Amino acid sequence: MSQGSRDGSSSDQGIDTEYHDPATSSRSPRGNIEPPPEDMTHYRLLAHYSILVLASMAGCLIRLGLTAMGTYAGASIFPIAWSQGVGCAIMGLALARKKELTFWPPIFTFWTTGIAASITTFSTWMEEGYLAFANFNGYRRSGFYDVSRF
Amino acid sequence: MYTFATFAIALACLYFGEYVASILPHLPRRALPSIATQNSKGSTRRRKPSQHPLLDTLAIISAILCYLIALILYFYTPTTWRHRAIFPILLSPPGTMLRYALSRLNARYKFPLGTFLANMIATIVLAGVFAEQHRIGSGVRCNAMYSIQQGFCGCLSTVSSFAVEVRALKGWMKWIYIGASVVGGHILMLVVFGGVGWSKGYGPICTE
Repeated sequence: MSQGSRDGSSSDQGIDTEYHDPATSSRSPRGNIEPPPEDMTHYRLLAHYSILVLASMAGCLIRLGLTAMGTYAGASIFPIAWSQGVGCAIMGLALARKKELTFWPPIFTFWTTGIAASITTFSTWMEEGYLAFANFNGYRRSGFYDVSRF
Repeated sequence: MYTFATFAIALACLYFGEYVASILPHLPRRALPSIATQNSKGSTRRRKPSQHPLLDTLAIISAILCYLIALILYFYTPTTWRHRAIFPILLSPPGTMLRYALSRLNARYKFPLGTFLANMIATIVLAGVFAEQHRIGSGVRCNAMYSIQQGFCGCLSTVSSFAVEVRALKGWMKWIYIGASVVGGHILMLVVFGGVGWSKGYGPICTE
């Protein structure tokens, strides 16, 4: 009996160190967005990946919808700011409720890695930042405000 | 200023979400069976693994169903909105899966390498696709370019994980991470997008 439990615990430990490093989670308790320690079977991993399909489709649609809603004449803020804000708010909400959400770990992956991270986008941020920086649309700017004149 | 505003919005909304979580009511305890098995004494005892094979199966079925529904919608909906809405969501799951696979790298080093790599790859792909978008006419190619931007790159890159990791990192590593991501992203855009523009020139952006 004791032999069996020891075997079980050692194999558990092996799986655990492969997927989740306890040192990092103790170093950054608030920023830990890794899945919690669990026995990661192949079936569970498949569930993690397949729940992301629904999450990314929903997140992408939400981002497109928010961008379309934020695009109107005379908008006071750039439209992609809405989706960045909503995604980060969902991420903060899910992180604060991590203990409750991890009754089934893929649902935590669904909200953080899936929904929240699909709504936000880094690449469009970089693209629009570059376009603003380079004055790509050719607005008439006086010398100091126009990088392309230097 | 654009970069600073986005970053400030991201961090502020992260705290806002945590505040909302503190005033919302808790989930009912009875609906959460495996919380009760959490260890109450001593940190050496491990929590029992939460096994829900039924929910796992449901998740896998949901993935297949989502792709089926998206494909059916793509082929049978009017062209006025299917190119703008359905084509991107067909391309978005590979981006998210790639980011999830890369996020395994995050725990191994002090630097969150997985998120950084995902953001940089997405920026490179988006720069190339955006450059291509200024050089072709209309039609399906233009829609595909738009969909790769919004679907694949948008889901591969993330700001929310970036903000969480920036908040969690300590000391110089925080500033190295911010600087590497933001400056690196702008430099990649400059090299790929600006380089193509200076060497070949740009027309107006294509429309469907």
